[in-house]
Order: sequence, then structure tokens, then C-alpha cells
Amino acid sequence: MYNLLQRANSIFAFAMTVTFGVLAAIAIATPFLPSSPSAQITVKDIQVISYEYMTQGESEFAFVKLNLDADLTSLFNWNTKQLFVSVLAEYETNSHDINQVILWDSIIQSKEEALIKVSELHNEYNFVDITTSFRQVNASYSLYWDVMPYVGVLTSGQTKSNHVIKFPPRSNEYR
Amino acid sequence: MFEDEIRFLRKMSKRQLAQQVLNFLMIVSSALMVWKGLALYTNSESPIVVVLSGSMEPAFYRGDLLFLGMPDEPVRVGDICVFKISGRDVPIVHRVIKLHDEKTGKQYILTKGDNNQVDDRGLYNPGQHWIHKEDIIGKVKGFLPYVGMITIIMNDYPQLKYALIGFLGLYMLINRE
Amino acid sequence: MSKWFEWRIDFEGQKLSEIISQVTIVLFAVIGFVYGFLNQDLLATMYIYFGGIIFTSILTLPPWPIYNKHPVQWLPEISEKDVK
Repeated sequence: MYNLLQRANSIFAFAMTVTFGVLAAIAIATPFLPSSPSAQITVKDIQVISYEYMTQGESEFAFVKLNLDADLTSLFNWNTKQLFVSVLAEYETNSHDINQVILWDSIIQSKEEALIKVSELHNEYNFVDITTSFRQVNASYSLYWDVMPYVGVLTSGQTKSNHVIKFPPRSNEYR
Repeated sequence: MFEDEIRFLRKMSKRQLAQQVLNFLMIVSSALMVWKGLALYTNSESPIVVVLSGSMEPAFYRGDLLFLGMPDEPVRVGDICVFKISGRDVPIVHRVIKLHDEKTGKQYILTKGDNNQVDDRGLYNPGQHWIHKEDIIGKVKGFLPYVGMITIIMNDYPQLKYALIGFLGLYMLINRE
Repeated sequence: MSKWFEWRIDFEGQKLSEIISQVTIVLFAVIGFVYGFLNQDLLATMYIYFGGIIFTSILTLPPWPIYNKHPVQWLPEISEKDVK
């Protein structure tokens, strides 16, 4: 500690340790912050049309139009870097008991953007089953979100209220 | 500036010189052991990975550190997973966007990087349309920004690695402690 | 010249500078964390804490006079003729 180099070295090392302490404190304190996210999805229209798909052959594709209304602003705390938000469709078929497909997603980077209102949301990604037909089963549509922190644990959530609706039979052409 | 140190070096006997060199080798080898140990640990069922690409921006940038959890619970859509395509070494950190679970328990998973326009089928092996539970190394549970940057810099500029070890060695030799 | 640039301080000064540096850094860390948490402002925590580190460096790195209040008492030089 007698010269500049020694003191600078010691301060640097100590500061590193304390920095990790601060980051750990931030990571530990964050989950205790309250939040009350809410979202409402209403499916307005579904069409099912068949197309050739990869090696599966003629498969049913669903085209979904829905209404999304969500308030995720309470998820934005000091440690929130961004939200990853997606519309999720879940259904069960004879051969596969769990099927989950993301239809649309969005990255939200500020509190203001967390108030989401999309009145005509179309599925961004193709909605096709691993079998060739949906067989008109029921599917539930909900909102799923991932909270990305600046430092710490990633958390996620999903709306409890979701819209359950049947796939319609195949139609011949896109309306 | 270094008169004291040079005078010291000249005064050393053969024994002292040998001792300094051994000291230096000890430090270098233990640093190497930690480095290699960590690299090995990171390649296996390791809980810590460094983000290597920008395909998950703006969530993860190159150099961020990710903490993984063991995938005991089944994979869910929306999870960010670290997986390896069979036959390849490089782990990929992307999000699960489609999931079809057979009643037998076999999972068919499709992944995509948030920052990519298309899903990962272009990355999978030719003819492969899905990945399965066995391909997944872990699920991302925690996050620490920037800390992994040093691994990336060391990898991109290996001369830096040698330069650093060289500097450390020189410092050890000259230092009287 | 290199002696001046070394910024030496005496032993009592070293003790003092170490205590000051550790206490100040921890203090700024705690203040930064509490302020940031209460105001939900992570950037504030970072600014306060890293500002605190810079402040600590200014406080303890240069050889301020308080660190040289107890200079080492070297024994007087023994001249050749006394030894003989």
C-alpha cells in the first residue's frame, strides 16, 4: 500500500467484490417487487386451409385473426430490460397431448409500449400441426410474456383468462 | 525506472533464478488449469454460458453471461434454451416457438432466435425439422451482462491471451514478492 | 523522479487510506442501492456507485498530507570512522 500501484490495485480488487455484491443485491431484491399484469384475447376469426408442407404432405394451416388488449406496464421495474410478449395457442390431439405454438411475438422495451392494443392481430408464423389435420379440436389462446432483467433471474407469466375456440373445418380458399 | 529491479536480477544466484522461474511456471500453470477447467466445465452440463452471437438481441448481446438450469421440468414454449445440434459442437441459445409432445413423451421442438427473421430449421441438420429433449443442455434462468466479454476477446484475439500471460510472467519475475 | 511518481505514503497513512477506501466504497454502494431501489431507477444506482468509486480514488490514491503525518523514523547514518 506504500505506492500508487499498490493502492490502485487494492481499490480495484475491493471494488470488484463490492460490485458483485451490489449486482447480487439487485438480483435478489427484484422478485419482491409487486406486479399486476393483465391481458384479454378474443379470437375473431379462424380459417383452415390445406397446403403442401415440408415432408408432411398436404397439411392444414390455420389463419387466426384476433383482438389483443393488454396492460403489462406493472412488469416494468428498475431491473426490467425488456419484455418478450407472445400470443400462444395450445391444444391437444389424439396423438399428441401437448401442442404449443407461438402465433405472434413482440419485444417491448419501455413502460409506455407495455400498453398493448392490437385490434386485428394476424398470426405472424404459420400455424400448422405436426400431423396433417387439426381435426377441429379446441384450442386455447393466451398471452405469454418473458421478463428480461438487467441482472438476475428471468421470469415469465401467462394470462389465466384465455379464449378457447374450436378449429373450423377446412375451407377451400382464403376469404 | 527499473534500476532497482535490474540490479536485483543481476545479484541473483542460480538457485534464486531457478526459484523465480518455478514460481512463474506455477502461476502460469494454475491459471491455465483454471482456464481449461472452466472451458471443460462449460462444455459439459455446465450452468454457465457466454452469449456468442447477436441472434437474441436486444435481450442478449455478445459477451453476456447466462446461468442455466437443469431441464428436469418439461420444456415449454417461450423458454429460452441452450441446445446443440447433434454432430455440432457449438451451443445455440434460442427460444422455443413450437412444441408438439407425443403421448409417448417424445418432444418435437422448433426454435428461433428473437433477432432472426426465420426459425432455426436452416441451422438444423439437413432433413431435420425438429430438435428433441436430448439436444437441450439447459434452460436460461439467470443473466449477468458484459461479464463474459473477456472470453470472447480472448477467443477473437488469441495474441491477447499470450500477451497477457507474457505480461503476468514478466511481472512475476521482476516482482520481489 | 520515479520516487515522486510513486506517491509513497507512510505506514499510518496506509492504514488510514485502506480504511477510508473500503468504508467509502461500501457506503456509496449502499446509498446507491437504496436510492435506486426506492426510486426504481437502476441508472441512478450505477451513477452513485461508480461516482463513489471515482471519489474514493481521489480521496485515497494521491499522497495527501494526512497520509504522511507519521514518517518512518530511520536510524541515523553510521559514518565509516565510528565503526572502525
